[in-house]
Amino acid sequence: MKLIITDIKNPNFNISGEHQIISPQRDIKPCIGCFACWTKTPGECIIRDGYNKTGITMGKCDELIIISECRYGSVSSFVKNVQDRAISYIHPCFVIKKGEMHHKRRYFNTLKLTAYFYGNDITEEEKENARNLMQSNVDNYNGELGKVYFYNSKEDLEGIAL
Amino acid sequence: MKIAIINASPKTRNSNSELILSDLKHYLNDQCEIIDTKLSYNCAFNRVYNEVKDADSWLFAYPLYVDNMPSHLLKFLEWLSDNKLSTKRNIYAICNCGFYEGVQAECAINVVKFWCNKTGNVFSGGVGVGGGEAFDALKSVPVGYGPKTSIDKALGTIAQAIATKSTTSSKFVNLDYPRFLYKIGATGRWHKLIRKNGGKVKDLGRQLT
Repeated sequence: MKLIITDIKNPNFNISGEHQIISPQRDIKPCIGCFACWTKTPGECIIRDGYNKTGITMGKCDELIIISECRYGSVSSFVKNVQDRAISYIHPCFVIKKGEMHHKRRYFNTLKLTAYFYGNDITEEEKENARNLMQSNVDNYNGELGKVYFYNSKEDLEGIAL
Repeated sequence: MKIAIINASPKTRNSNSELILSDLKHYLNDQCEIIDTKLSYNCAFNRVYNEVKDADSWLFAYPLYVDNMPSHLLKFLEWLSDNKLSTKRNIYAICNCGFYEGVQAECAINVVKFWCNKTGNVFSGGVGVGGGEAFDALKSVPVGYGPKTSIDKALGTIAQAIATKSTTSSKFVNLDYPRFLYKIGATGRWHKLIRKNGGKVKDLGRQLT
């Protein structure tokens, strides 16, 4: 299954196969840093606003597609909020991989992450940071990084084949 | 000289950011006037902005979440930028990560740097702190000693830059403590927390469908 996380409210993408889209259709509450999703209700966020099961959904996916405005070399705050609320996808304990400390797996699927960033004034430095962020994400998700694309505007993503 | 220290941990209290800021304040001493404020997950942006708007410099302290800054801080930066509320200040950043290697906070520090570039502020230095989970256990260790030596040295350098309203290069520092022991300690902490909540250690890896 493909999981698409986007900050575009009414996305118009041409998506093939089984998929789920997470977009700002309803308000999302921020992560409160309680770590209950690791130590009280392992695997699920305790904030019941409809975004609490994203970690579980990620465990069922083989593709994660992020479509976000590039803000200062980062995903936008909405996409980051969804990511923060889904840390239960991974295990709290650490392992050493590629000489660095990362999180242990909770699930054993391998996510392939593809990212589509948009924005009319993304600098080369910001693009590099966004790529590095996606690489760090897959290192902790125990996934693989696919392509990271940059578009000049949200409109350029209309009807894109995913 | 007024510095606004913005603790942007989502937690309302007992954050590692708070402990790290306590060491930073030791170095700042009486060299500048400090405006201390919180930007936790439930803070109104207007209130925080009104508290810090008169400061010459701002320092953001935050934990690393998913290799980046927490979303509520990113949303605050977007809000400031979209409302054209902040320019020409010296901006400093301290990001602490649960991972041992402080360099893993580099992307999260860069986000503040690029925000400065977009908003006409002056990015004036950052510190990526590794091993943030150990700070609670190191509360009784004097500033600048033991496992905190390298981290506190970097905090001392950025404090000097803040006090003189100057720019310093970003630094990424680790605990002066072996990584394997830190990893054992962190694992023990999670085991303790799940037991405290009535769970078993194996529940930490529970898979939900």
